[in-house]
Amino acid sequence: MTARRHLLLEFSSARAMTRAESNVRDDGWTVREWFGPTPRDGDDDIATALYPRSIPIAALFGGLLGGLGCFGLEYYAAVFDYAVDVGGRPMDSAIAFVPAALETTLLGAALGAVVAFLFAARLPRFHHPLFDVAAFNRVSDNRYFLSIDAGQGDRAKRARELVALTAAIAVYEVHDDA
Amino acid sequence: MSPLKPSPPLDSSALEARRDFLKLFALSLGAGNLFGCVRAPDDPIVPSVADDTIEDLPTLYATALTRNGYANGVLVKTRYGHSVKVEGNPQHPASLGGTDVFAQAAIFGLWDAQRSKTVRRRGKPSNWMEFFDDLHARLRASRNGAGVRFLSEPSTSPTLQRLRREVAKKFPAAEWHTYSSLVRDNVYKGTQLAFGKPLEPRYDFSRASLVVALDADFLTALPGSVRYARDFAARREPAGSNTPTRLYSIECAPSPTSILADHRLALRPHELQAFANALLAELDGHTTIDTPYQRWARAIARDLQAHRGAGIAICGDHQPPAIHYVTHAINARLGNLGAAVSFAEPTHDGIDQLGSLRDLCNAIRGDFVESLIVLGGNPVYTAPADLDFAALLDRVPWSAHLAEYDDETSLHCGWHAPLAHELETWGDARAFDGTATIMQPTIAPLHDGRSIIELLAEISELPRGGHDLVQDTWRETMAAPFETSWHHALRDGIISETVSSVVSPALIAQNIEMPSASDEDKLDILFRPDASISDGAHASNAWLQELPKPFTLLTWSNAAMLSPATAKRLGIVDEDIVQIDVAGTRIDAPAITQSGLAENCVVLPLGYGRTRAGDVGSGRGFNAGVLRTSDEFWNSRASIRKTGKVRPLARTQRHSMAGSDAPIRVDDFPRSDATSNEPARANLFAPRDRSGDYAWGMAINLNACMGCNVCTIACQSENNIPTVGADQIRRGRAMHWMRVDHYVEESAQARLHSQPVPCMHCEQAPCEVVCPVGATVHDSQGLNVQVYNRCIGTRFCANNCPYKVRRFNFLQFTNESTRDFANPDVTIRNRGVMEKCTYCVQRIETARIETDKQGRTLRDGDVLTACQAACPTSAIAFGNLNDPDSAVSKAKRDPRNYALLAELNTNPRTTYLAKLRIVNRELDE
Amino acid sequence: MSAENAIASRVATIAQTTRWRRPGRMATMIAAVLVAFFVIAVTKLLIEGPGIWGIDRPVEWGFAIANYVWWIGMGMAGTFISAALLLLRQEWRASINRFAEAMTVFAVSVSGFFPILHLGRPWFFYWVAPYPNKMALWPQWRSALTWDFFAISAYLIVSILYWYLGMLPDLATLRDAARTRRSQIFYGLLALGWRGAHSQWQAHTTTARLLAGIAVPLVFSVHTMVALDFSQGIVAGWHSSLFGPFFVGGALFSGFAMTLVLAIVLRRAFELERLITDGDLDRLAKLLLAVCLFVTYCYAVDVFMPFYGGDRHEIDTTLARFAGPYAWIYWLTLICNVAIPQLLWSPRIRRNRIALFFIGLGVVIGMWLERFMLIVTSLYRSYLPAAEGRYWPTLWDWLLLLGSVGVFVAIFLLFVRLLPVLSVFELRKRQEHGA
Repeated sequence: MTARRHLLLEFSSARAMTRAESNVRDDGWTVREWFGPTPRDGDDDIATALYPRSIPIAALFGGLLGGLGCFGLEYYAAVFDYAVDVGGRPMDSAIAFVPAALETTLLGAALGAVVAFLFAARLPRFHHPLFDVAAFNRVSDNRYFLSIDAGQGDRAKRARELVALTAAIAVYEVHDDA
Repeated sequence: MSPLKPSPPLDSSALEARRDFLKLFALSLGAGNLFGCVRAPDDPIVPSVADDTIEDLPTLYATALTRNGYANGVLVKTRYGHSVKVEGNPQHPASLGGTDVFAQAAIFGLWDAQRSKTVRRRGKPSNWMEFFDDLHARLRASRNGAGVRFLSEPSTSPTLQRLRREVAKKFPAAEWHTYSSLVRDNVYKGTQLAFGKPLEPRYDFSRASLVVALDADFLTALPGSVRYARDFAARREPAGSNTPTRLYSIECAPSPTSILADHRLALRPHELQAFANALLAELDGHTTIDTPYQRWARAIARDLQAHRGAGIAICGDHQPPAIHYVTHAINARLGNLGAAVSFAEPTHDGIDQLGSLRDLCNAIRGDFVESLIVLGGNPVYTAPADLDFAALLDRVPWSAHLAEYDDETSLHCGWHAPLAHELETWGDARAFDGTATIMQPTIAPLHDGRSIIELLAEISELPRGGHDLVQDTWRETMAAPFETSWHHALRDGIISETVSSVVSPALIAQNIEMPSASDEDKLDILFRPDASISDGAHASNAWLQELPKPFTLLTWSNAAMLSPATAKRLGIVDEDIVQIDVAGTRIDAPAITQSGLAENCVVLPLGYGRTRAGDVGSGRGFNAGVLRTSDEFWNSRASIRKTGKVRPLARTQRHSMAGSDAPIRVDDFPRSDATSNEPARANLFAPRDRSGDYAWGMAINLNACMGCNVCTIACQSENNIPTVGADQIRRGRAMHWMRVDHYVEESAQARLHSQPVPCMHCEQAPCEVVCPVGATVHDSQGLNVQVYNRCIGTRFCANNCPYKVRRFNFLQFTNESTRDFANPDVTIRNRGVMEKCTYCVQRIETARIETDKQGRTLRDGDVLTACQAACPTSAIAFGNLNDPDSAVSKAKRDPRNYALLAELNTNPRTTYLAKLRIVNRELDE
Repeated sequence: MSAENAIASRVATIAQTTRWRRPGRMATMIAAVLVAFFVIAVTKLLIEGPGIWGIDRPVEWGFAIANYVWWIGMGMAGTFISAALLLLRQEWRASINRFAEAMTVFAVSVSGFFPILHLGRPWFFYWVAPYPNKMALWPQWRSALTWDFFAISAYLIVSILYWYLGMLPDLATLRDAARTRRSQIFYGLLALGWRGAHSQWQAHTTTARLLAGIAVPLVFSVHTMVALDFSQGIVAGWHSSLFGPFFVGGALFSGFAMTLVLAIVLRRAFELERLITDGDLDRLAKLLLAVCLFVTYCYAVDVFMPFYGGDRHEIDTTLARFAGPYAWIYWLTLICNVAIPQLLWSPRIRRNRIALFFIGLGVVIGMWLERFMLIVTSLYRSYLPAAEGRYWPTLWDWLLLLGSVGVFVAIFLLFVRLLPVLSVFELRKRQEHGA
């Protein structure tokens, strides 16, 4: 397989990057992803609040699994496998089985959500080609980056065009075998 | 004949023990487990049950334990050759199956590693041979016994008396003295006054419908009390037409008897005399004396008249002869003599013990005593202070002390020789009614001990083993063929036709002068044997030390007891240290208030302040004996003042005042109101399935409970319950599974109640629901079982038990040293687990296995719990609720049956029968 | 240098300054001593057993359980504050949520010691957990203690996840700011390779919000379980349906107070006045006052109900609280938790850091007293007059309590040393908007 190449543009502010992004789009480039130290405005709007969907769904199933699983275990243990007369209470004291099941429901949901998060965010991934770009380590501080498909043709020339187009601080080439 | 290798000197391992209770326990018992093994006695002993073939089955041996010389018949259970439990002997007239606390504690006494193990000369280890050589040399030197004196405690043993005659034959000039600090001289002086000769009173409470007790604790303190209690309690139950026995207790200090009293009147000693005279005068129809208690005297007199020939007037051992005379006179007037009250010749020679001791002391002062042989007892500690016996003993050129413990007296004697325990040796003794019992050993002597009769045999120079000595005594008297009747005597624990014959003496008219009124600024001192350790003889018995004394619930110490009002007047509160001054002799004692005690009286329990009673007994409490003189032996006068110091006391119950919330139900008899069973309560849960064979339950009859604690200590012995020591008691960590709560109804007559509280085995047990690991659950027979090895010790169950019957092992309370007399059927519990009453599940299972073999189900009486078996008054009924005819089922149908804290809907399997008050309306306030 | 820069470096330096200033060293030393206490107390306990404490019959629970409820109570607030404020889009949460969450995690961890140590046989604590075993035994599901075991475990795991998830971007910040190889590896591993990509941010925000949504009911349910440890019992003074909300209220109360105290300390110690503003403290104080009112209401109902219900034992227990041997603890509790916090009505007090600090501390102590009071005054009097007892702590009770404080402080100091005490990325956001 051929290594795909793309360009990484560095900006000093979210505003600069946002402006640049639209220009680049207008110019027909494909923006693959942006990187920044804070979530982008609007990411916590209701509309996009629970996106990607996989996470809430995972939470739902995690919860169901935790709850029903625990209740089932309690019922099996107390009624069938280990039915002992405790204080003259009925074996299937279903109400008494709820509290533990409730806790495991919430636990299951949380675990589900977190597992789904790791998948959605493709974490953990300790090495990534982007980390080869020295400047990229400021992405967690005060730099913003756009990654753009490099496409074909003379790379140096195109990079110069981009800088002109976006007033990026710098442009880096990244080999991404993802 | 020393079967056992001697035990090492008191053990280092124990000394390392960090905490009080551990130290106590290890020191008192630590050496126990160092004996390689135990052996059955050499001479043939006969079990009371036929089947002793199967090694691991318990074997019961009938024998007797003496208390103040009188025999109480017991069965001793042995497992793998170890004596582990004492039961009453149902065939023995003084027991009928019940025991007292001392009999139960005998097991601890037997195995107590602090017992003396070697002969000592001036404290240096020696041996029997040297002792005998020296002894014989000494005796031969004396001109046929001149200057030789014996001092023994009163004994009813025919063999001992026979050997005394042998000794007398050999050494005619030797003299014999008898003394124990529990002297009953007043009783015999009283009969002397009344009938001209010393006689042994005997009572038949099954024939009494009315009892007037003048400071008489006839339920626990007299010879035959165990039997008396059984008869009295039986007679108190309303059966058919007969009305239950009414009991008036006119007393100085409360005793277990007071708990069953229908009317109590607390009087100072001199007032008691006045009252007795008043009562007699009332009976004679002329009201000459006018006392503040005229109303009582008149009411009781009228009641006595109404029960001619069916009443008992009884006077306590500690009261002066005059009051004894009056009671005899009253019984004579009412024709009770020969009915419920009868007399027989005394079976021992302890008639004038104080006199006897005085003679000895005078003889020593006059240097007439060359050699003194002290057979048992601890006179240096128990003798009245004015005789200064210790100093006198030092003046005796040659002295020897045969005793179980190397104690205060041993210290002042040239020789000390270990006395074997009653359960180790052969002997015989008579019960209160004269019935003789052959005392057979249940185990070969653990230490190198000899019995008194063996020593006497040695002295009379016809040395023989105890077995032969006892046989020699009985060979003539027993019915032929001797071997058969001997065998039966051993098996049954009694020798038939040995009841001493009743004499019917005539009353001599005497004129009893009124007592001198006391000087009011002084308080009356009452010296009384301690409820748990008696006169100190049991001081090193940890079971008894930790047994909560009735009313005060005090353990591990004694205290000066005052009535709350008197204490208030003197500004004294519990645990204050007060200084008591009797004619210049002063002692400091912690004070404790006790309701029901006569005003301006101070009870000083004896038996404490021991100096050579090992680590368990030494240095606890104070020695009241130093205030005691031969003239004022039981009562005295003293002034008392606060010292400002305090001493914390170890009590198992914080307060006993019970207002409206007293968990004791008392019904008047005849019923004033028709209080019936508790109303049936609605219940969320389906009733437990009782389709099985058994549903165990218990009913405790408060009308029979006198708070004597036998159930507590019997349970301790049966269930391997550790003692924890004073510190842990103070922390509220007593381990007794069966506790006896005491309550006082604040009224003019200060009604006293006791209530044994075992596990209630609730149908809806609150403890079980809250256990996270299911370590306490119900079994198919309705028992609330505790699974020790599943318990992780959250203690929620104990918090949630409204009866607080659960016991937690906060620390490692048990240790190796308990192993020797542990009941092998009961698990030893370790640190961190919860435990509690199991209804003696091990006994249930043993019985069930037995009956399964016989292919039948359990019948009522096949299973007796330890507490039930030991209870002198049969207050505890235990059995199968599925059997409508079982005693317990009947009890639960009784309208008096009630559940403790029924409002909590726990549906306890243990319930109570309401106490009855056989009211005399004239005295009802 | 831009505001963002400031924040990043500020927080980074807190986390990575190589040397403490004196207060820091003092704190560390004190914490070390207290931790030593803890180790000694626990060792002694494991060797000799719970008998070294003052517990007895009938008061079978003492300090251990009081401490447990106290600690887990404080462990409620952090998650709750952070979660609730997140759901309500309160941006000022950024200034407190991180260390509040940390406090939660540490408090819960510390509280976890006690239910185990208080056991008679601590080494068997896992028997409460359902797992296939040779004995073929299961836990007893009807016991509140079993429920509580599930509750604590669930809560501990969830709050750790929530805390860690929220911290992930900041860990990346520290990774990228790290200078030494060791710290680069340390933070690199913790950051899981976070790149701040748009997709990651979306997933992150979503999950954070979900966890917040899960955490809030969890907080309520968990502390209700704790309350059930008592109210399931038939003990007079425990057996009350009020206990659930009562305990939750109390938990949040002590938690908010603790947060307030820590906030004041942190901002003093690290000059964070610009990040933890007076306004933030003011809001926190208002929150505290609100909960105080709820707790006060609970105290009132707790007194009212017995008389309304008319149960003899319940009434006796209540009266004994007013006038019994432990009455002074009851009244002290009310002073700390009801009387003093009323000062917070005054805006001047709410902006006075010293006052806030001591009011908060008072509440923290008052809540401990409340737990002690609820346990001991309910247990020492039993249904049977004869079974009454007393409870007073021993030296070992105290050592364990102080020790647990030490353990908490020690972990918290480590946290301050190693991890971002404030939510850097949220503060950035806040400043982007604010400034």
